[in-house]
Amino acid sequence: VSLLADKVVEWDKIAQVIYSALGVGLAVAIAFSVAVAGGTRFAEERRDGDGIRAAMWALIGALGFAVCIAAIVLGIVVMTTKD
Amino acid sequence: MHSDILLVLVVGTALAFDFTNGFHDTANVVATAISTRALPPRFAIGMASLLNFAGAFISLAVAATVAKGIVDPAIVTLEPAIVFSGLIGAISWNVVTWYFGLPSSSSHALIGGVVGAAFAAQGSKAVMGNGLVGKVIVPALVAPILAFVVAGIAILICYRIVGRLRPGPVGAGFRLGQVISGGMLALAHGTNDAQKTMGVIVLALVAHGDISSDHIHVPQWVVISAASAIALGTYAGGWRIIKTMGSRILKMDPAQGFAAQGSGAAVILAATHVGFPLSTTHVISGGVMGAGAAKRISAVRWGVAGNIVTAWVLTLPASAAMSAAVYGLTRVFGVNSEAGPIVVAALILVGTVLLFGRRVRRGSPLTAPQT
Repeated sequence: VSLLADKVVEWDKIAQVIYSALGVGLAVAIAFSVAVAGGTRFAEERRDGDGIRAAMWALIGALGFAVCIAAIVLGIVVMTTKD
Repeated sequence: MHSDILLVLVVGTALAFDFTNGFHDTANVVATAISTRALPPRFAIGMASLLNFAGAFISLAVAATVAKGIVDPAIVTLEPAIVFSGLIGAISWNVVTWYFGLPSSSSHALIGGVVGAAFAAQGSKAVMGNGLVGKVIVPALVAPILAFVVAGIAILICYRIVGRLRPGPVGAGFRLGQVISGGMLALAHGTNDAQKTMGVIVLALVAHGDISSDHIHVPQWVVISAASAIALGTYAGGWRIIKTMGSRILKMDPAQGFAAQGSGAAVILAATHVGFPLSTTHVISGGVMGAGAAKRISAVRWGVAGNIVTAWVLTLPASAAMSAAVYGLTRVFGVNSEAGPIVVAALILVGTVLLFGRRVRRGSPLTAPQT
């Protein structure tokens, strides 16, 4: 049964799907959550008058957002170049 | 396939299937964004429609799998009615599940349909069992579970990072995220689902002698017409399914919607890249349930989820059986007669018009949740 499964199922492609989806899906979730946290904390710190901390959170938020966009662009580039 | 009439009929039927695919499936893509009010329904459907069109152009790996990896193209050329019967069986199953508001899988309906008709016509030798199991059935099992896991972990990470912040701005942030992740999911759907129709049309072109079975490729007009059909179908409907997917399975917050859509997009795009024809419905359902279960197991309405699983299990055999029956009907008029497919196409057309008429008389279809 195991030999048959190895012959029929394309395990390397299945593994590629699993690690790609896990890697990209979780990376984007982390990066976007950081972006949301950065934006929220930026608004709070600015309201409290702490310019330096506000700028720091704005930078963190922008970096998170940039990582999301980069991941999306990279994904599309990879898909279009394969064919 | 040497009949031009039959080729036109098959291409027209394939595009009609693509339209029903968009009509039936694609609204699932935006259901979560609508249920969390990240996007107004009409805008969400419009955006999904445009991105479905665009998505159809970014890959052709799935089209290749459908054209040469599931049934033997050489055998299909012996009986032109096989591709036609497969399509009609898939469309019939799509219309039935749409009418009763059941989320099914257009993709598996199409594959089940082609396999059922090929099996009925030429027996098991026509079906490439390894391709069916390795490229369709195993990925169909893995993908929803993977989406469930990715969405579950993703939502836990999201809550961990933003959990102590004020919910108002965080919700607004994730609604923006849903616009992006919903767009990616629509793009992913376009690239995976439109390609299945392209694969079937290519199969018909191979059977007609327009494309060599040794050098299978997808002509540009096939890509453009399949992209247009699925985009138009997306815009035309899908409200019943939106209600089932967006609110009956789970009441979601914007972060959960983002996690569900993002995980779905990641899984579909990764699978498309390696040529696996997946069901968007299966994957997004897995993502929705994963995002819900990670927060609170009881938040998921498992009864509705169970109904959906039942529909999944039924799709392949039911569409295969329908296609086999359609093939049998076309055979009544002769093995390579054009009359059979023409009569069946006319019957299906009349039946579909009657169903739509009945729907119109019963009032407007279910709308997106208002709560």
